[in-house]
Amino acid sequence: MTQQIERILVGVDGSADSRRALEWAMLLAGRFDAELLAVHAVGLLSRLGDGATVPSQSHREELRQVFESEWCAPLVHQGTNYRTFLEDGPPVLVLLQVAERERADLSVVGSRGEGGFAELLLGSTSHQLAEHSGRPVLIVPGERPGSA
Amino acid sequence: MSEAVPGPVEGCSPQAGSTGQDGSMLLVAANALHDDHDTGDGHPEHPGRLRAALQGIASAGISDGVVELQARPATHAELVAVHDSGYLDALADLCAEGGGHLDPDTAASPGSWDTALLTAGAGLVAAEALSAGKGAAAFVLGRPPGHHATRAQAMGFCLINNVAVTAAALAERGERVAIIDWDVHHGNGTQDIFWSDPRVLYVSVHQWPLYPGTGRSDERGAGGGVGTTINLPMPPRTTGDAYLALFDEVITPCVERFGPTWVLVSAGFDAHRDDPLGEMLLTAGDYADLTRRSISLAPRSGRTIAFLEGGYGLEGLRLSVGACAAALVGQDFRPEPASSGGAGVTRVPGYRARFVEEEQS
Repeated sequence: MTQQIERILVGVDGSADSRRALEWAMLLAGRFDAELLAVHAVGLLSRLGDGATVPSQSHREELRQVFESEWCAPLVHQGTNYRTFLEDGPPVLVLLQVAERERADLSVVGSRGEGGFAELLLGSTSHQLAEHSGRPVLIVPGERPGSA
Repeated sequence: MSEAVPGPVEGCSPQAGSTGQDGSMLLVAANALHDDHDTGDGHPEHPGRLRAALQGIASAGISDGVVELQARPATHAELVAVHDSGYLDALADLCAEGGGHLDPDTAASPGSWDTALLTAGAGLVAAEALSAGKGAAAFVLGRPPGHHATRAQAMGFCLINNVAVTAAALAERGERVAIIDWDVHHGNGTQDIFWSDPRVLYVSVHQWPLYPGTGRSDERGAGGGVGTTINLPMPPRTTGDAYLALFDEVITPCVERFGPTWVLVSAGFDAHRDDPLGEMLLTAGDYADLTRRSISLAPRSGRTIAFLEGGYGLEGLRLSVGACAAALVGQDFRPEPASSGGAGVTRVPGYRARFVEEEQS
């Protein structure tokens, strides 16, 4: 079978695990000359920021700024061909929807996302994604004690 | 302000008060005394919301006309009408095992399962009491909220879809149910559950763009349910005048065309101007107006139930719940004047053309 990998989706949320996922996605995009689709899901709590009781009315634009300028900065530095997607919803649904809509050939996510929940009650975002996606998923574990 | 809330009344026998005669009473189904749903420190969906809501009713000047209903847990048979059995079993098991996060927003604790069953059951008790002629309207004040919960997924602070459980029970009895959802977020779960069901009309006014990303105006239902989903996304900073224009120009003719025998309201109060999760500019006075419009959609008194959904600024929630509760029984309590002059009004003609005029032609 000849499988072309033209578009690689990667979940980005600023967490350490997502940074590792981004590194792997960039490595693969370079090997396959693929476009990267960087996706961030805007949850209900994200508007509250870091304890701010009265969030800015321009929260979404501030979040977009952080997403594009900080979290995606490695893409700019490497010169990767990429697009960004800031979409509302729970991470697993947003990642599934963007992957389907954009016909991603591979999705890359960290094993734990923002908040660092080791295992969500019904499976982590990465596990749920692997379970429900009809497309290949690469789960990148975070740095663990003793890992290289 | 008195913080006293109406005491529980055995069964659901209304007691005549100064607000009106039997049949003009507000039935309040609240489970504040059995609220063991712990979302963790710092979470905006916390038990203080329910206390604020009850204080709102106590301060609305209608206490003599309020009867508190004793909630009961919803049964498995009542829940599987809208949720997958496997999802319910997993949720129950996971709560029993200590709880945790279901998604980055949504948490459950050991007490969440029993609390969620009581909140879902409160809507059923309210429908039963109103069917028996015990009051003019009912207000279900429980946690967790419900309208984001789909058949098989907890999300957006929601575990069980409370309004859907009651709507499904009524529909099974042959009723035609209109759900009016004015929470600032789109009720994706309710929409999903009744997507193909022509017995239930789902109408949502919500901020766009905003969580959960669903609720575009071209989402209209499927199969036999085509046309019984109506989404009216509105821009940030929408004011009450635009909401009222939507009710008068779009929602009322659509609901009248459907001809409901019951009206259920997914009453979120997070479109209030002080809410930390929304960017709309509604006031408590606006919620009084929205409530009046909503009860006028029911065929007669005793056929409207409001369900607490969101609302995370405690003072705005308190005032808005008070205004809504008073309006449910025809009283006027407006601790804040209605708002106007913001965004949203220009959306109304387009929605009228799409949902009212095209359907008539």
